[in-house]
Parts: sequence; C-alpha cells; structure tokens
Amino acid sequence: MEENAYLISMVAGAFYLIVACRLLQLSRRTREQPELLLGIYFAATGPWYLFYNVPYLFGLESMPQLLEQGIEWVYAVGVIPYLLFIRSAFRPGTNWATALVAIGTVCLLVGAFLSSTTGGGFSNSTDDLGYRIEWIGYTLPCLWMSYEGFAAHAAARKRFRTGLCDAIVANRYLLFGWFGVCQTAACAADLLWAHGNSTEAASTAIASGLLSGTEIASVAVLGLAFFPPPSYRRWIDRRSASLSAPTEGA
Amino acid sequence: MAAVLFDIAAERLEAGTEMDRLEARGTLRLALKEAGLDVQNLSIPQLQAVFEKLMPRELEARGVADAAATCSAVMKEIANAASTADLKASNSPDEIFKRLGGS
Repeated sequence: MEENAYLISMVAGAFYLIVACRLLQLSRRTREQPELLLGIYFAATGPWYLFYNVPYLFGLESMPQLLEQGIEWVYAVGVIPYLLFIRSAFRPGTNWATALVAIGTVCLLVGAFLSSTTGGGFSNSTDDLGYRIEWIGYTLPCLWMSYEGFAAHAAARKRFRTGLCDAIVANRYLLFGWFGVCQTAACAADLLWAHGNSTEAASTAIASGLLSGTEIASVAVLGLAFFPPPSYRRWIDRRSASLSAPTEGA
Repeated sequence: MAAVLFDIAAERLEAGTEMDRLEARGTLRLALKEAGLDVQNLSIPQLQAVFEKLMPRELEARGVADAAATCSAVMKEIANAASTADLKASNSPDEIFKRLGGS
C-alpha cells in the first residue's frame, strides 16, 4: 500500500516538472509574471515528490540529511511563488491578499526553520510545533486556490453567456478550484500521516491511500487544465452551448 | 486603471441620461455583476459588450428613452476617452488562464 503511494507521488512529481517546464517556457516568451510564479512553484515542488520517496521505495537507508534538508527547504520556499501567483492572478493590489501572502510566507519559513532545527532533521510529527506551523503554510494556498478557482468559475460562466469568456477558460478556473481541493485533501492526509507517526496509530495506512488518491486527482485535473485533449475541448464546447442556449432567447 | 474606466463610463452614462451619479453608477455596477465582471479588471471590449447586450435592458427598466441609442453614444465617448488615456486591463484573470492552457 505505502509503496504504491510512493510510486504515485513520484509520477506526480515528474508530471509537475513537465508542467513547470511548459510554464517557464511560456514565461520566457510572454515575459509575464503569473506563469513565471506558477512555473517556479511546480519546478520547486516537483523534485520533492520525485526524490523524497526514492529511499523508501527502494528500501534504502534514509537520504543523506543534507540532501533531505535541501529538498525540504526548496519545497517550503517553493510554495511562496504559489501564494504570489494566486494574488497576482486574482487579487492584484488587494491588501488582504497581500496579508495572506505574508502570513503564508511567515508560516512556511518559520515552520521550516523550527522543523529543521529540532531532532536533527525535518520533523513529520504533529507533536512538533514547527511541523504544525509549516502545515498551515502549505494548506493556506491550497484552500485559497480552491476558493478563487470556484469563485472565478462562477463569474466566468456569467461572462460566457455575454460572450466575454471562452468556455475552456471558464472550465480552467473550475479545474484549478478542484486542484486546490485535491491539494487541501493531500494536506489533510499529510496531517493524518504525521498524527500516525506521533501516536503510532494505524492512521498512516488511511493517510497513504488518501494521499495517493489526491495526487492522482491532482495530476488528472492539471492534465486537463494544461494539456486538454481535443475530445475534452469538444465536450466543453458542446456542454457550454447547451448551457447558454436558454438565455439567448431571454 | 480598470476602475478609472468604470468611472469614465458612469460619468458618461450620467451625462447622457437623466440619472444622477448614484443611479448611473449603481445601474452600471448591476450590469457588470450580471455579466460576471469585476470593476477592478474591466477592459474596453468587456465594457463594450455590457453596453451592447445588457445596458439597453437596464436603462429601459429605469425609464430611459431610446436606451439603445444612449448606450451606443456612451460607448463612443468611452472609446474616445480610452484612446487618449490608454486604458486596458493587460493581465486580467481570463487572459492569464487563457495563456496557461496555451489557448
């Protein structure tokens, strides 16, 4: 069960790196900030999924501490561009969004620092204050993304009826909303896992299954968002046409 | 800049009808809300679509005579004002998410 979880995490990590390459290439072409920020986020977090699980999957001794700390720090710092992306895409120049970015950044950095300085390595236990603070930093952008994605989708549906938004773009908001939900669920699974670590409860098996499920779902929704197959585009167009039909006569 | 575009449109609407400032701004806000648009991310094509498709009905409901002609006159004035002020939303969420999927 746990080996499957490790393998799925690694596949997800490889996929996030492909998405990162695509976004960073796009940002080189457009010179725009949002794609750069999202590209950095996937480029920084992808390796964590890819390499962190290698020792467990192949039954090796644990990873060298320096490498483990490096990957954990890159992951923690890599979530900050995600917070900045959400603000720049949905709430540019909004004070409360800036405050959320600041809170998330502080939680990630302080949490990672505390977590890395206790017990000689990054802690993965709910008993550790650093882990709990860092967890807030990871979960905050996921929850925020899901809220913004669903809210933007609701508004985009209205714009679609006025001919002001493409159906595929409206759908992309929805997919990002679901990506936020999947990642929030992954954070919850991580918390369950950490709780299992600290209490030696059987919750790690449940967490492992939940984590695998959320990663598969995350890859699926991102795949549809970034690489929508022609059949999916056609389905969106057909569905949108049927949705807009009743309002045309109004 | 998008908020400035809203202000210009509301001012022109107020001048072109018998509505007062509050009525003009409120009517425009309602139409934008119905269209799923945000005042902070408003672009000229979006405003144009609102004045073509939604505002005539809103103005008629408020007793404005010849609402369609009023809307097109207001739109012309906005376009003129915009061409001198270079008003556009260059990085709206729609544009960002369109780019992300490569469409």
